[in-house]
Amino acid sequence: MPEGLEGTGNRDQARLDPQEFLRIVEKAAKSGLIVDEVIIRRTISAIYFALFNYWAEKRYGEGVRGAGIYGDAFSYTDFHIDMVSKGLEKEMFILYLYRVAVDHYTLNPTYVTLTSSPWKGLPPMKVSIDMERLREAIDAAKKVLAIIKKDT
Amino acid sequence: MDEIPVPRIIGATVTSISNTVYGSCNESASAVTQLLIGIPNSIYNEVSKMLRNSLAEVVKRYMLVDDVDAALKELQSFVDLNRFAVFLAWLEVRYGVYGLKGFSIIREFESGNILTVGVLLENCGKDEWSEIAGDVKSYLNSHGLADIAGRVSIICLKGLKELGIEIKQD
Repeated sequence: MPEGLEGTGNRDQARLDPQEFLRIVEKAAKSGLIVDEVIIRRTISAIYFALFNYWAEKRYGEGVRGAGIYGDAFSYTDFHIDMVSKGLEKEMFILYLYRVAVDHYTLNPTYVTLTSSPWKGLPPMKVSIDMERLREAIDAAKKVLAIIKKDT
Repeated sequence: MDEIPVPRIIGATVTSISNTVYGSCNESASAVTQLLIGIPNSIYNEVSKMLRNSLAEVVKRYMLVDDVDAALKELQSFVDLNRFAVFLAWLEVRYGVYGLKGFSIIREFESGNILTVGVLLENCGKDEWSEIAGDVKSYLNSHGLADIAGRVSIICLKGLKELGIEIKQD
């Protein structure tokens, strides 16, 4: 690799393991520290991307290359394919649906649409952004994380 | 989980189907033969008949779309249609009791690219969802269809409702 293109961080060990992050989030949820919708929205989004970042780091460490100068940019689709191939449909669907709801829709509750023409099979889904959704996201994330860790 | 039923007619026709799906690769043909052994006679014969015309017809039967031709073209860019057709036929047998509604593309919200092919089961609940998904993926991965395992997602509509997600009625 040319000088100056090494990137940052130690590639010999995982820097992006979100286990501690999830532990803190879970503790905060149980302690009543998550007090409003903004915190719920940002936390659900962060959970999804924490898993995505960690999965991508693992892939990179295995020698897989994505896009970008360093080959370290991977797609949601790659992440999804890897996880659902292991039977994590429910967890990945929940995380993705809630992530799209909190990042892209303003109203609460709101209808989230995950398909578009010419496809019409999956109707819009009404999602409430609340503590129950956050708890489900945490539970799903713990299962996904366990599989990511197990695979390497 | 019940044992998968074994069809009475296997052999030359299965080999023909296998070759249609996998070309002349004996190893892969063997894999799909194993998969097709799980299909009972009536559906097996129906699948065989359709294969003589086109496996795409099997796929079209389950497509939830406005424009079949455009959808088929897009789907082909993401999955091998023949192998996907075999998967759908097997799923109908294995989990048809849960109500196989059909399938639809799910997109990456930001890019519009395909995220996964969502295969919709009407009547499986949230507690069955993981069990069914795990069984399906285990079966596909162990029968030479790992590419399909990664590109399709089982979605349990009853399970979504049980999670408090309201699905808009057509």
